[in-house]
Formats: sequence, structure tokens, C-alpha cells
Amino acid sequence: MNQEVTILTLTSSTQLSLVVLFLPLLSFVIMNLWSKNRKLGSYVSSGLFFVNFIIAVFLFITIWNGEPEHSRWLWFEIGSGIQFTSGVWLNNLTVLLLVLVTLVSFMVHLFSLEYMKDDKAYNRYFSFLGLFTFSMLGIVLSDNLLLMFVFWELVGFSSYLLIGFWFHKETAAKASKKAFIVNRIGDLGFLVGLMILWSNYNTLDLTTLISSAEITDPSLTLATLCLFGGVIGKSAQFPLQVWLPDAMEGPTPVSALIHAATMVAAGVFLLARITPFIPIDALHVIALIGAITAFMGGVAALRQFDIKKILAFSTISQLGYMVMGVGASAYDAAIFHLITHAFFKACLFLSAGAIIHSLHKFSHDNDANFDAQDIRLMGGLRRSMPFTFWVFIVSSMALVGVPLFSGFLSKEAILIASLSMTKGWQVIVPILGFGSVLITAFYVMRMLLIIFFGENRLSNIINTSYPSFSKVSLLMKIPLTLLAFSSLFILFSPNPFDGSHSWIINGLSNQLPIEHHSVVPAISVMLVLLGMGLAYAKFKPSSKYIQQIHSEPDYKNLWQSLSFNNWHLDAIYDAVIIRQAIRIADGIKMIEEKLINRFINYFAIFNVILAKILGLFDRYIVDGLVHFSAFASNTIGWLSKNIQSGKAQTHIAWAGLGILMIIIWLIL
Amino acid sequence: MNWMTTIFYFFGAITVLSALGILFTRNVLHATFLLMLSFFSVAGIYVLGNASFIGVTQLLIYVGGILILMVFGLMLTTKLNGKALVTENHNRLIGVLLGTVFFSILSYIIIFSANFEMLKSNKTLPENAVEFIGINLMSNYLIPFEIAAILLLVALIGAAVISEKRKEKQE
Amino acid sequence: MEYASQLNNQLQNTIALLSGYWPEFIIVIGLVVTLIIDLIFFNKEKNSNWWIGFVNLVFLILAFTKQVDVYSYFSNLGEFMKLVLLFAGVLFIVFSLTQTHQTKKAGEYYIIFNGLLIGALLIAKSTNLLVIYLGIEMMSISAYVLSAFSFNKNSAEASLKYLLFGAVSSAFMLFGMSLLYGFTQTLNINDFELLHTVKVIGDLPIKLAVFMTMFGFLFKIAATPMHIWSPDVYEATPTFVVAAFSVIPKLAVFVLLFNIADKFLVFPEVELLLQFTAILSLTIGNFAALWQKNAKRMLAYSSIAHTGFLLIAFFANMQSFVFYGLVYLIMNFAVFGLVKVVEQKFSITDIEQYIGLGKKIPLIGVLFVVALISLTGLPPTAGFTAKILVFSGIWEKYLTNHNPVYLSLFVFGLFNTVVSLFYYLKIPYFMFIKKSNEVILNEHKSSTVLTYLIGSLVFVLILCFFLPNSLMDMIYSINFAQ
Repeated sequence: MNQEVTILTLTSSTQLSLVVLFLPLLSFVIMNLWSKNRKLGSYVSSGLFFVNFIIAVFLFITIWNGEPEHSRWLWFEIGSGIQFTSGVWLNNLTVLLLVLVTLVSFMVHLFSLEYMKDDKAYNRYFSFLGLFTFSMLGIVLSDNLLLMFVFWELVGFSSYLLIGFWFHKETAAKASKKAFIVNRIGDLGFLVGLMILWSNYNTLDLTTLISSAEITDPSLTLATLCLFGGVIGKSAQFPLQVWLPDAMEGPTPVSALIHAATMVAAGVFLLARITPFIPIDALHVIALIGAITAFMGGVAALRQFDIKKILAFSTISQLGYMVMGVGASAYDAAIFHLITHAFFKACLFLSAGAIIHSLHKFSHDNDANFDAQDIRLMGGLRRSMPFTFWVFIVSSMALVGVPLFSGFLSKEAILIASLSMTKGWQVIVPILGFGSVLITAFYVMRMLLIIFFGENRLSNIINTSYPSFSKVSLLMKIPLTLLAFSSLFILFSPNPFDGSHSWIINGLSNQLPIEHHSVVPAISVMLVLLGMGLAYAKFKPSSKYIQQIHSEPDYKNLWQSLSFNNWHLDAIYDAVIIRQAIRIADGIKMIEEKLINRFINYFAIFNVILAKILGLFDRYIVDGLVHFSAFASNTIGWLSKNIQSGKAQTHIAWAGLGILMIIIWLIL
Repeated sequence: MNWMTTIFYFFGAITVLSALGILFTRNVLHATFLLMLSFFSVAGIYVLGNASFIGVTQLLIYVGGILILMVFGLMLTTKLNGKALVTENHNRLIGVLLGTVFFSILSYIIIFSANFEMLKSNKTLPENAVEFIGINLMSNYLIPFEIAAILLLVALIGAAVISEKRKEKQE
Repeated sequence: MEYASQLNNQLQNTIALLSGYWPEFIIVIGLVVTLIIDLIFFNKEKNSNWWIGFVNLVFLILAFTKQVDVYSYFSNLGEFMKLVLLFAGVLFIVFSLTQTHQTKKAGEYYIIFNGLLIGALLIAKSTNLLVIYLGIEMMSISAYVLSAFSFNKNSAEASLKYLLFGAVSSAFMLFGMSLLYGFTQTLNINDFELLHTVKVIGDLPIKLAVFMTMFGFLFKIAATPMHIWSPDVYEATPTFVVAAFSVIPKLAVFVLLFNIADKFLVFPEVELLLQFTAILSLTIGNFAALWQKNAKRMLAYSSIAHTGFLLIAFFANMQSFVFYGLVYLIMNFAVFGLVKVVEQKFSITDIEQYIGLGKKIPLIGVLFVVALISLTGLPPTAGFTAKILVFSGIWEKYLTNHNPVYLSLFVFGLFNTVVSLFYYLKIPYFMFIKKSNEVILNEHKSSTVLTYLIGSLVFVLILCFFLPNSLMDMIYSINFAQ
């Protein structure tokens, strides 16, 4: 099974990409050491990220639609001939993601300069951001599933750190733990997948796997599904999506970076990387899981009152779309949606952050204690925060998929691809896909109407006159403007109604472009209009519902409860898995107490006996001899007064005795 | 036994006896003078062995330098409490036993089982030994020579550190 | 005329030889400069630690870069290990720089450490009995003084004990060396023809001479039966100095053993002596460590046991020895550094006082766990890789020569690895697992830089487990044939 690994030397581009990889790590190190000057440190780190973004853009220009570049070197060797490599593989997909990650990361840095400026652990925050970006870039750059797995785990770990950033808050600590554990379940699948691939192909190198994997191999179906397990965890797919809403306990810019734009997209990215060797059966499963997630996420978003939770469920739903796209053999469309989604969702999160920031400040300034994230208490913000309002509108139109916005283009591409699945049960995939369009339009419209229109409802809770909120600062405005601009169609396709000829899709797929469909956009625009109309009818400012909303309970009937509690998944897991696990753990604990402790006890007894024996040896033989010599000294009358110096002499005598024995042995 | 051999054994006997005396006396001043005697006779042995240069340096450095220093030190410390400086011996029995066994074994091996007859070298010493030693010290043995210098420097500084501390403590 | 040209030749030879001594020379300059700076610029009250340490660091780094040149020229084991020793020196000085309260006699502290380092470098390089003796004395004298640097009663006493013990072993060694010189008529070990001399002199006296010389070496590596001094000295000496003690003289003398191996190990008895010593050191070191209460004392016994392991590595092969030596250096510095951090923070060194510290200083606790796991030799640390290399090397040796002694080295090594687990894990046990009764300890400031330094050392330990290749490549660049 010896297989020589070819080593590919570094080129200038791959060297540059390594620079891109390690700059965030440098920022991590700097921010850790730089504890004195808060402000300067964070500016240096933001500057580093800007440089990083520029290099990434340069790499993008060099590589995009050109020759892919690949560097690989020997990583480590086990025994003889079993070699593991590591390397950098730059192709269109890589550089696209590289630009995306560095850009969003930079934007989030800018935004955080203002958002986090009063936080005590300001430096820790920026250092964690650096660590996270480093690991994310590692995933993007690696040419090898094992290396990717290492970074994958690092991403999980740094996300754990960031979710639990305010660890003194119990909910945050719990949420970070939950995210970590749920992700580990998925990663178990990833690991098993790696093992299967290794035992079959003796390599984990992506290019080698792509060229050598037999697509008909039944074990490959199993392996790719196991890898997909990792994706389910990281990209919050059904049935492991429960961690993402809780992860909103982290700072809002972090939610924008990690839980909207980059980390959760890592799963989709992994699927895109391995898509050439995913067998068709596995693809069908993937598409089904994606469609279910899209639908479930959308439904769960319908009745949330926490602004970040709405966005979180909407993220789950959109991630479902992407996974569905990969499953429908259109990974190019999925990546297209990943990119557009990253921009508009980051924008949404950051503007939500801006709203929360000023409400929080308001509550702080007026000594009023209310939940700054509860949309029931907002309303009418259109007038007090006009800038945020417009940015929010633009990005949520992209989310809904209204023509002229980026989301429309990418979502259409996925929907068109899903139409290829019409045989038998597969038909459920496009049905759920289109259904989710309707749901998305509905909950987005609901959110917009409740937050921005009507009268401000804070006065119902606290006795103030009409509240005025602080303005959004310039540092926050820059990233918001840029991201909102990126949510327009113009950046992606010249034709606002046709996403299938976007340069991203052209650059990614080797196949012919998908036929332009005119029926699908028509249907989806109709669904969008329907959804928005329904929402308007229910939530228009003058409606009875809105008048009463400030005292609306979390849920009133079964359906609302189902949506509010995310299909009761947490409760189900608690009953089915966690309690059983605790029961099993109790059993194991009993075994441990009975068996292992007993063994340890015996061992301790053995140790004590041994100690006793050595003690006896010490007392009677070693001490005995010492005492004997002391006794001998006594009889002559020279009692040693200074015990310590006597001891030194005794020590030397012992060593002399040892030497003597050895020399006698030499003679004999 | 010619007279040269007689003198050699005479010096040897003085060396060993005075060294034993150092071991057995409890008065440090006596020990110092016995040490001087021992050094003298070692110097005598060197001279007899045709190493007159080493004999002279032995006298100069040990007798002329180190011993004088020791005697001064003794005089100064004795003055502090007005009594003679007396030491104690510990672990006499084990010391005597070990020493005797070591002595018998080493003498058995080295004196009685080594064939020294074969070792007689036919090297002749140069006439001007001092010049010979000087040239060798500055050429072939330059590195050990310099190392010795550094060793002495380090030892000097070390001694200063340790003794300085004592002074601080007393104050 | 003829005499003059001969003299000229001699001088030329000497000068040519000197070029290999550049690193030592630079350190000597550093030593003298330190002395002058200390005398002129600093009086007793000033805290001169930082400045003088920094000057020393610069000189050491210069010496290190020079040594890289020397190594690339000779590329033998001795020159490589000199690089390692200089690296240890740099580590020691960087560690010492983080001491905030060390105000007493910083100048002398660094000067005497430089003496120690020069001695070690000379031993690692030379095969001349005279130079070896001077090197060992230089190292010993510096060590006696350094062990008194805590400036308290215990420290002075330990220093005196060390001096007495050192003088005795030095006497043995000098006696052996003088016999060797007498028998062979040369000081240069490379010119020894011991098997030939045996025919002339006789068997026993030469073996005795070699044995007695060996005892002096065994004293410096703290191997049984010459180990008895080390626990007392380690306990009373400043912690950073202990880290240097446990690494620098040891590695230097081991290199010396390699350098003289083909001359001295012609006698099977000498080989057997070392193997016997290895087994004894391992067993005595590990078992005595089991009952120690003081962390530094426990680590002293652990380092006696590690001497045993290094001796096994000495018999396995050079590559595994170099790897083990390097890893040993890093983990010892890490562990002693951690002990120092705890000492700085809470002024405690007893293991039982570590109770509950895991919660107070989790980072230190985790670093402790990793470093101790590495000392035990468990994955995922470089200690494991090093032990694997040693064991596989000794096993291969056994398969080729079927000498039961090699098998017993193998078995004892494995057995002692298991034993060592119990006392190494005592520290994490007390830090994390044992329930504490909330003993309130006075907390002082400790150096964060030191913690980061140790963190990076521990990181290297883990890295060397996952990526041993780069280290192995470096080791394979040594020309082992010489």
C-alpha cells in the first residue's frame, strides 16, 4: 500500500495565501500580549485585517478563472511509507471564500471597535476574533481533509470561546457548552468518514481523492454521509440545528461573523469541496435534509420575539437552502447563495446589533430595565434610526428574494436546480423549497413591520415620553453601508432577473450554465408577494394585533408553541437522549464505584504495603547503619553536635561505599 | 638503596605522617602547620623527581601564598573569641573503615598488580625546563591555560559573593 | 633556526585551533563585560537584573549564532550539543530576566552562570583530559556558588554539602585521570590505546583508572551511586538554577561519554558499569520520588531517574539520545518554570499545598499537566516520542546482539515509566481533583511573560509529538560517524 506522495513546491500565490492565513493568528498573539493600550491594539489588529483583505483580493484577481495553484508538503510520517501531507489548494472556490471571510471579518472588526468599546474584556474579544478568522481561513485553504478537520475543530473551539464570551452570564456559558457538544456529535461523523476514506484510498488529499475515487463504490456513500454528519453539526442542519439559536448569547458582531457569514457556511464549503465524489444516493439524502431544515427553520422563525432569534432561525433556513442546492447537484448555486447570504445576513445582524446597542444604551442611560432584544418593545424605529432602517430594508429584501436584490438571484438558482428532483418521494424537496419562500417573506415582513413601523411601544412599559435613541456612529455606518451595497444585484449579475449567468456560477461550475427559467422566478415572486401581503394584513400598524402586542404572551396555542419552541426539539432531545444518557452514566458510575474504585483501593493498599516495606528497610537497615555509626561515635566520646554536617559526611560515606563495592566487583 | 632513594622515602614518610596528623589533630592551627610540612616535603619529592620548576612553584604558591593566607585568617578569627579554633571529627569508625579498605584495595591494584617496569620512558627532559614549560603553556597548552584563568576568576567572584553575604548578616 | 620554525609551526597550529573556540570566547567577553558593567554602573541598591541579564543575553545569542557556523563546519555530535547547551543557556537567562524581585547580586549571578556554561561547552567539545578536568571543575565551582544564591541557611548548607561531595568525587576522578596519564603517557583521549596498554601494564590498574575517572562523570550527571547530593541541593537552590543544573551539566557530560565511548568502552566492565548505573538510577530515582512531599525534591529524584533513561538512550543510539536530551531540556525547563510561577505567586513548594490551585490558576494547571505528562512519557507529548525512540532503539540493539543486559534495560525502563506515572500525577491530582478546604494563600504577582514562555515551551512539546519530522531532520543532519 506504499504510495509515494508527490511534493508540490510553494508558488508565490500559495506563499501569499499562507500570509493571509497567519496574519489573523498574529493579530491573536498581539492582542493577547498587548494588554496595556486597549485602543491602539484593536486598531492595529483591524489594520492587519484590512491588509489581509487586500492580499486576499489580490490573490482573487490572480487565481480567479486562471490556473488553480496547489502546494503540498510532507506533514508527518507514521512508520515507513504511511505519509500524511498538508498543503494549500487555491482554486476559484478557495479565493472566493478567502475574499468573503477576510472582508466580513474586517467589517466585523470595524463594527466592533464601536460596539464593544465599553466592554471590560475588549482585548480578549479581538484576540478571539483573530483566532477564529485564522481557523476559518485554515478550513478554506487546506487541500486535505485531515488538515481541514484540524481547523474545523479549531473553528468549533474558537466559536465556543466567542459564544461564551460573556461567560459570567449563565445562559451564555450554557449556550457555548451546548454548541460545543452538539458540534462534537457531528464531528464524530466527520472523523468516521475520514477513517473510511483513508482505509479505502490511503489518502485524504482532496485532489487525489477527486481523481481516484470510484463514484460507484458503496462505501463512498457511507463515507460522504459520515462527512455530511460533520456538516449537519457545523451548518446547523436538521436534526442538530438546536445549538444555533442559543449561540445568539454571544456578542452581536460575533453572531454576524460566525453564526451567519462564515463558520456555519463551513459545512456548505466542505460539501462543495467534496461534491465531485459524492454518490447520487448520498446527494438525495443531503437534499432532503437541506429542504427539511429550510422549512423547519422558516416555521420556527414565525413566532419569535427576540430579534436575534428571528435572524438565527432565518439563518438555519437559508443554510438549509444551500445544503439543498448541493444535494440537487448544483453546488455552484449553493456557493452563490452562501456568498450573497453572507453579505445580507451579516448586514442584518450588524444592523440588529446597532439597534440593540442604542436601545441598550437608552436603558442604561434612563435606568430602565427592559430586554433590548425584544421586538415587542420596539416599533417606530423608522423615524428614530433612519439609517439603520434603510440598511435593514435593503438586506431583508435580499433575504426574502425580491427582484433587484442579490438574494433573488441565488435563491432562484437553487430553486431551479431543485426542480430536477421530481421522481417519487424526491418531489418533497422542491415543494418544501418553494414553501419556505412563502414563509420567509411572511416572517421578514412581520419583523419589519413590528420593529420599524407604528408607534414606539416602550412608553407602555416605562413611563417616559417619546424616547430618543443615540445615533449610529460612523465606525458602525461604514461596514453597514458596504454590506448593504453588496446585497444589491449589481455586484453579482448584470441582469437582475437572471442569476444563472452570474459570474460566480460561471466561474464555479464546469457544466453548461443552467437553462434560464422564467416560470420559477414568476412563481417565487408571486409567493413572495403573497407572503408579504399576508403579513401586512396581520401586522399592519393599525391592526388590533399590533395595538396589543406589547402584552402578547410568547405563545397561545399549539401551533405557536411549536414555532416558538423550535418544534420542541430541545424538549425531545432532553427526554430521549439526555435523560437516557444520564441514566446510563449513573450505571457506569456504579460500575466505576464498584469495580474501578476497588481496583484503585487495592492498588493504594499495595502502595502502602510497598511504602511500609521500604519504610522498614529505611528504618532498620539504612537508619540502623547510621545509628550504628552514631553509636560507635558515642562510645568513643565524640558525639556529633551538628547533625546536618554529620549527615553530609554520612552521605559521602554512602557514596564511597557504593564506589568501593563497584571496585571490589571489578577485582572479583 | 642509595642515598637518593633514602631521601625520597624520607620525604614520602614526612608527607604521609603530616597528612595523617592533619586528620587527627583538633587544633586548626596545628593542622595548618602540619599542612605546611606536608607541602614542603611534596616540594622535596618534586625536586628529587627532576621537576625542580614545579617544586619551586609548589613552595611559592602553597607555602608562600596560600598557607600564609590561612594563618592570617586563623589569627584574625581566633582574635574574635579569644579561644583556639578547635574542630570535631564525625563518623570516625566508618571513615577509618572505608579509608582502610580503600587504601588496601588501591594499593593492591596499583602497586602489586601493575607492571611499572614496562613504563620506563626514554624521554629526556630539556635542559632549560622553565623555558620549555613557558613555551608549551603559550602554545600547546594555551587553551587549558586560559581556561584555568577563567576558572580562577569565577572562583574568586564566587568566593566574594558567598563571603560578602556573611558580612551583611552580621551587621 | 630549526627551533624557531618549529615554534612558529606550533603557534600556527594553536591559532588554527582557536577558531573553533569562538563561542566560548564570546561568552568569556560577555562575562568580563558583565563584571565591568556591574562594578561601574550598579551599586548594591539598584535592581540591575534586567540590564545585566539583557547584556548577557545579547552575548549568548551572539555565541549561539557563532556556534551555528562552527556546527555547520564540523557537524558532529559535540558541536550540535553545544548548540543545545547554548540554547539552554539562553532559556535560563530569559527565565531569569522575568524575575522581578531578584535584586541581590544580579551581576555575579550571571557571571557565575556563564562560568557554568563555559565549563559545559568545553566538556562537550574536548577529549583532552586536562581540558575535561578544568571544564568539570569550572562547572562544579560555579554550581557550588549558584546553589548558595537563595542566601538563606538551607541554601548555604546545601552549597557546602555540594562542595564536599564534589570535592570527594573530584578527587576520585583526578586520581583516575592521573593514573591514566601515567599509563598512557598522553592527555589526549583520542591517542589512547588502552587495549595495547593493558598488555604492558596489566588488566586491573587500567580498568581501575577508567572506573575512577567515570565516577567523576557520574557525579555530574547525578547517577547512582553519586546521586545523593542532588535532592538536598535541588531543594535549597533557586528554582531557575535548578532547571539549569538538571540539564546543562548532565547533557554536557553525556556528550563527553559519547566522545570517549570508543576508547573507554573497549572494556565490557565499563559498559556493564554504566548499564548497571542506568538501572540503579532509574529504580532508586523513581521509587524515592514516590514519597517526596516537596515538588523540587520530587523533581530532583525524577531527574535522577531521567539520568537513567538518558543512559539507556546512550546505549540505544545517538539519534534517540539527542532527541531525548532535547525534549528533556524543554520539559525540565517548563516544569521548573511552573514550580517557580507557583512559588512566586503563593510562595509554596510543597505538593500538598498545591491543593485546589487548578481552579485558581487554570492555565498554569493545564501547563503543569501537559509538562508532567511529557515527563512521564505519554502521548500527545514529545516525551512519548522520545521514549518510543529510546525503547525501539534498545530493542533493536537487543535483537542484534542478544545481550540480556539490553533486555533488562528495556524491561526496567518500561517498568519505571509506569512507576513514574504515580508521582508525576500527584501534582495534577492535588491541583484539580482533591477537594480543598479553602486554604487562603497570599497571592503575589507573578510574571505573565514567564507564563507565556512556559506556554510556548509546552506548545513545542506538543508540536514535537505531532510533527517530530522537523526535529528528526535536524538530528539527522549530525554526522554521527564523526
